Amino acid sequence: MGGLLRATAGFRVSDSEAESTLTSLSCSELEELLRAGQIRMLPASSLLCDEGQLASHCYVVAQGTVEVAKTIDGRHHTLSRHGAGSILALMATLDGGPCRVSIRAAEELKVVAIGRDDLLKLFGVEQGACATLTDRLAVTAIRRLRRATDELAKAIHRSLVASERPGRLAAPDLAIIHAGNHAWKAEG
Amino acid sequence: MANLLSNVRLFETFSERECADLVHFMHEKRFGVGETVCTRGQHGNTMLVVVQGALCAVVPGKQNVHAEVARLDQGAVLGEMFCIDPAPRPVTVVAKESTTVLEISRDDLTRMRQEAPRVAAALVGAVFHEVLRRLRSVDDRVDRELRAERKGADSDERPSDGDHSSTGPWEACFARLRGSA
Repeated sequence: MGGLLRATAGFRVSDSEAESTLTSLSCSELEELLRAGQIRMLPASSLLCDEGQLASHCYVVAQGTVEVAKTIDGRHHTLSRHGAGSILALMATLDGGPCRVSIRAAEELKVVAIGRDDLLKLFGVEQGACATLTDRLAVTAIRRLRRATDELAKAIHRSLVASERPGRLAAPDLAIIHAGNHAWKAEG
Repeated sequence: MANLLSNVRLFETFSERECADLVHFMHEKRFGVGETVCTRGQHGNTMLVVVQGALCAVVPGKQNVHAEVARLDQGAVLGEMFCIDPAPRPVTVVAKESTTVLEISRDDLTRMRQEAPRVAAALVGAVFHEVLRRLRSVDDRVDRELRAERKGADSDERPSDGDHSSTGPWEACFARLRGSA
C-alpha cells in the first residue's frame, strides 16, 4: 500500500531534498499526508501562490520545479527555484497572512495540495497517527525560523560593519530570507 | 502549577485537564541567585517555564562583562523549540533571583507521546504556531526593510543619472540570488 501511494504521489527517492523528509516517511505517515491533501498535476507556469494574496492551500512538491519570485516596481525578479520535497506557502496558509512572494510552476508539476482546514486537522489533538509527520513539519519550521533569524542577524551585522550605507540592510540578504520563508526545504 | 500554565500564552488553547497532564510530565527545578540555567553554545533539549522568581538572558560583552538582553519573569517560557528540535543554546541564561522552573525535555515529550498523545500533540501544535508567529514577524521585518531599501535605491540612483527606468543594482543583486536561495 505504501509503495503504491509513494508511486502515486510520485516521490522520487533519488531526490536528496525529498529523501530528507518525505520519502523517509513511513507508509502510514505518507498515507496521512495524501489523505489530508489532493494530488494535483499542474501545467508549467501555473500560479500556486500570488504575491500579496492570501493562500488557501500549501503544497508539497512531488515532481517538478517551482520558481519563487517577487515583483518590485513592476518588475519580476526570480529569487530561487525549488524541487521535489519542498514545502510551499505553509506559513501563509496557516496564519492567514499574505504571501510575500509569488510561486509558479517552472515546469509541469505534481504536488500534494493541502487546504487550511485539513492542515489544521493534521496539527489537531486528534491526529495521533500522523504525530511523526507533524513533528517533521514542526522541525522544518523551527529550523527555518532559526536560519531566518541567523540570516537577518548576519545582514544587520554586515550593514553595520561592512556597508557603504551603515544600517541599511542589503537587498539580496533580505530577498533570500523572503524566498526561504515561503518555500521551505524539507528537514529531516 | 496547572493554573500557572493556563495563564501562559503558549498554552492558552490548553484545557485545564491538558495543563494538568502537561505538568505531570514536567520536572521542578530550583536555581539560586546567579546560578547558570543554560550556557550559550551548549546543547539544549529542554523547555522551561518560570514558576517563581526571574531569569535573565545574557550575552558576552566587553572585558568579559555579560550584558543582559532579556528578563524572564513568572510565566515566561524559555526554549520551547528545543524539546522538539534540540540545538545549541543561543544565549546564556542565569537566575536573577531565587527561581523555580518547570522543565520538560525531549525525552519527556517522547514519553508523553506514548502515555498522553493528545497533550503531546497539543504541545507540538502550540510550539509550531508560536514558531510560525515569529517567522511571520521576521518576514514582516524583511518586507519593511526591502521596501525601505527600494526607496533608498531610488534616491541613490536619481541624482546620478536621472534615469528612473534603470534597475541596474537590483538586476545585479537578484541575479546573484537565482538558484542560491
